[in-house]
Amino acid sequence: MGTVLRRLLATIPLLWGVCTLLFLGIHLLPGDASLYFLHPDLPAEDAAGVRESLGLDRGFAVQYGCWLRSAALLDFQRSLIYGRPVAELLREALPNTLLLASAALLLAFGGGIGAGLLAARRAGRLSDRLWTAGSVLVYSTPAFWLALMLLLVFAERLRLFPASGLASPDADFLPLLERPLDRLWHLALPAVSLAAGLAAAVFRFVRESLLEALAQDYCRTARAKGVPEALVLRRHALRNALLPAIQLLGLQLPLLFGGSVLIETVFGWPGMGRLLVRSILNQDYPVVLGGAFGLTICVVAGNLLADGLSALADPRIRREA
Amino acid sequence: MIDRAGRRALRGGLVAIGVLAGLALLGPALAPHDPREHVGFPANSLRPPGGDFLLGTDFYARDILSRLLAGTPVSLGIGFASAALSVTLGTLLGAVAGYRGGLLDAAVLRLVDLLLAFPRLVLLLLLVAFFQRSIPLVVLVIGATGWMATARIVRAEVQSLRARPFVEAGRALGLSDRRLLFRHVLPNCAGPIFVSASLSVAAGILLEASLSFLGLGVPPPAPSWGGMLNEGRDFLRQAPWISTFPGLMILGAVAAFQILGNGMRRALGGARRIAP
Amino acid sequence: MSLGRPALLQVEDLRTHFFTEEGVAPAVDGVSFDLDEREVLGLVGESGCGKSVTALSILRLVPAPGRIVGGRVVFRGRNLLPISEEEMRRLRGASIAMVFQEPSTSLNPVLTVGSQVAEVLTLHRGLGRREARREAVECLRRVGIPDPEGRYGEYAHRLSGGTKQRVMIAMALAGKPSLLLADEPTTALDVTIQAQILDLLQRLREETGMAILLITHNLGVVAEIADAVAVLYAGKVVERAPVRPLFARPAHPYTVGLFRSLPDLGDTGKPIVPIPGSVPPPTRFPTGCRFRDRCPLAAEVCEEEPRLREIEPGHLVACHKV
Repeated sequence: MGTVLRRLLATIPLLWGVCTLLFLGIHLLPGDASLYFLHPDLPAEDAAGVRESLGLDRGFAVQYGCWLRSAALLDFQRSLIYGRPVAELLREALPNTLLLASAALLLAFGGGIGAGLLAARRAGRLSDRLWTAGSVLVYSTPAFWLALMLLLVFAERLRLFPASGLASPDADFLPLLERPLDRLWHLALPAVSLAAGLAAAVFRFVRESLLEALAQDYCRTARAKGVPEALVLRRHALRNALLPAIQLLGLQLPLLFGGSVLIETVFGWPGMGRLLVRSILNQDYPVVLGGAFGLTICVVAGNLLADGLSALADPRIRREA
Repeated sequence: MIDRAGRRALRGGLVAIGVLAGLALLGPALAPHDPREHVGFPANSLRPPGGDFLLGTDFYARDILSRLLAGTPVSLGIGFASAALSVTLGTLLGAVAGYRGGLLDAAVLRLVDLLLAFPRLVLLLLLVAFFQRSIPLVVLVIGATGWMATARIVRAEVQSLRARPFVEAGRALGLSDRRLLFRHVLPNCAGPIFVSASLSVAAGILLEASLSFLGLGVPPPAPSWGGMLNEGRDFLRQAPWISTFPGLMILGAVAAFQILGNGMRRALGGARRIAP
Repeated sequence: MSLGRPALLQVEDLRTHFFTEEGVAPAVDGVSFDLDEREVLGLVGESGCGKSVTALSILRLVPAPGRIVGGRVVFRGRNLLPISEEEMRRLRGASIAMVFQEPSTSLNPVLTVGSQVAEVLTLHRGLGRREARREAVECLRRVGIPDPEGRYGEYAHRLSGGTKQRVMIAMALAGKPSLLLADEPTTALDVTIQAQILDLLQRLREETGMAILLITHNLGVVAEIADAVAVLYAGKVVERAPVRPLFARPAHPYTVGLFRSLPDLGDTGKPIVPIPGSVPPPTRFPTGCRFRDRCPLAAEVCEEEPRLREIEPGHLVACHKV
């Protein structure tokens, strides 16, 4: 409980920092700040309402206070481009980003752990060294380039996967059972692109963790009991090696969400990353703030999840929690 | 005692970086065509690799190879400059925090944790959003958001070194804290700092490419690998080479610095755990 | 020493060498001894003399860069060194079991202690999960752990050192081995707990009739429960005898030195005489008698390696000057 509270408390300065950053940024721009908050077609009373709540006619300090207050209330006003409430846009985009991120996490950890196990079994041999060398290359590959290459090969040339979007345009007309499959089909390439680099990092980490665990005394005890080596690896070493891997998850989350910005852009995936990039290019600052908030909350939620998993997996932590 | 794999990594990394440096310095001179020239547009537009154009041409009939070579000093330069900035910042902050301890240390630690918890790319986007795009801006924002990893490492090193007898002895001799820190303690941290620097260059190259890919990095017409990748998106079907080759360059450069950094780390003794 | 019947374990000229970057370290270099059923043999020596490696060699668990390079390990009349890994694995934990020195690191921290005992039962005695659990609780009870049912689900970090060692012993005994290799089982424990663990081992030996190879550097422990003693120095057996003759008439200068370097609570006036020098690093053992650089009786003849000679019935010494 203590760690949970601490994490939640730590989020506040983070969000405050983001707000302040954006506030200062907007005020550095040429022209009247209110330009960046008022949709041109907004009816007069609504415009007045916005002016009031953001203190646009008052001094700098007051504006700052109003800005913080509206952010705290999660009131991000309306998008300048779409005219719709930012909260609505976020609500649509957030699940898509979470879906993509979760899929990528599952792929990355599943693949990375599996590969790590195989490599640890064959440690030192040629196949292991090839895998390790390969992992450096994968880790260094720009995710957005990988995305384009996958698009090229699997979507354009081989026509095995769709090139963009969440679902087929006629998805609503598909039979109920086929709809999730259609979703998965669209999710495949983006998730793989996002997962690749992370999988390489997980692989290297798990492999090293496993090798370290295998050298520990408790594995020696297991062997002395006559436990077959495969079981020593799976039951004794793996459980211990997974504990730091969960911490790795927490540390890689910011990278994951950063990557999702790029992947969503390449595949036209309607998530928060794409929303954020578009709104920055369009100078749609209410959405920028909302998007930044949303991503921050995703990262924090992910960290809490990692903490929970840690407690679950490690009996030593469980007692303390 | 450098283990075999570490030695190989060091050598490989240095060779690769030598090649890259060579390309960066000589490349633009070696380019077969002027990277900005539209060579026989529109006839030569979107030519596949071969003949006059070893790596093909883009929509504006510009030679891909020449553009790649022209982009090398830009991308590598940004990688280096931003790494220099972030490593310097990180070393200073980490050293002072580790040496002084107390409130300053706690504050720096908090700040590091806070910033590391936020996706760096998103932070970059937010910072870039309000200014005119330019190369110095890109260097500045990448450099300013990357000091945390170095700071953590330097802080840890300085803390452990501070407890060593030679620091006590220096104090007893009347050496000022500043002199002790900069002349005596920090030089001992050189190894980890270099490792961090190499990895920072790798990250910097990747981040610049990402920004340019999104259209928020190096402004055209300056060539940049990421920018070229972006330009190639629209022609992925007809002319995949426009996006493929820049991506390979990025991969190669990033991998080279990663391998070098890993090799250096092994050379310093013992693989360390999760490096943030 | 047996009369007529072959010994349970016969180690003949065992050699285990470590191939390191600094050279070859002959950690075990020609060790021989016998062990009968029900017998407790104490393997004594300072750290680095090869005692643990000997035990690991018997189980063929020598870690890299070590390798068994010669000799025979005959268990129940069968040489264990050439048999397949699969056959060896079946013996481990079932016929021959081992208890290690550091119970804290030798138990898996993320598995319950009970399940680690039960693992032996499912593996070697083919018990189903529920049966194995019941039997495991019994094993815990037999080693004197109070409330074994409750303790089954505990994790190692919650248990005291003595309890952890009892768990290790329970794990070792679960397979009903006829030979127990105990590598410094009491060294990491408090003195009072040490006594309890030794009593436990005694009791178990009486009850099950198993033989114990007790590795230790502590002569007091040897005096308590060993029937016979083999003294190791730099990878070689320098003296071997039943416990009483060894304590009454230690012959090898090293053994004598060991006794002299112990405080005598009965005679507080007696000076403690440490053995001069220290154990040479394994990669640079002296030629000939390996003790000669530290031996008060060293002479020219010691340049030739001494062999074990019987100086009285059952009492062997490897020294030219005795």
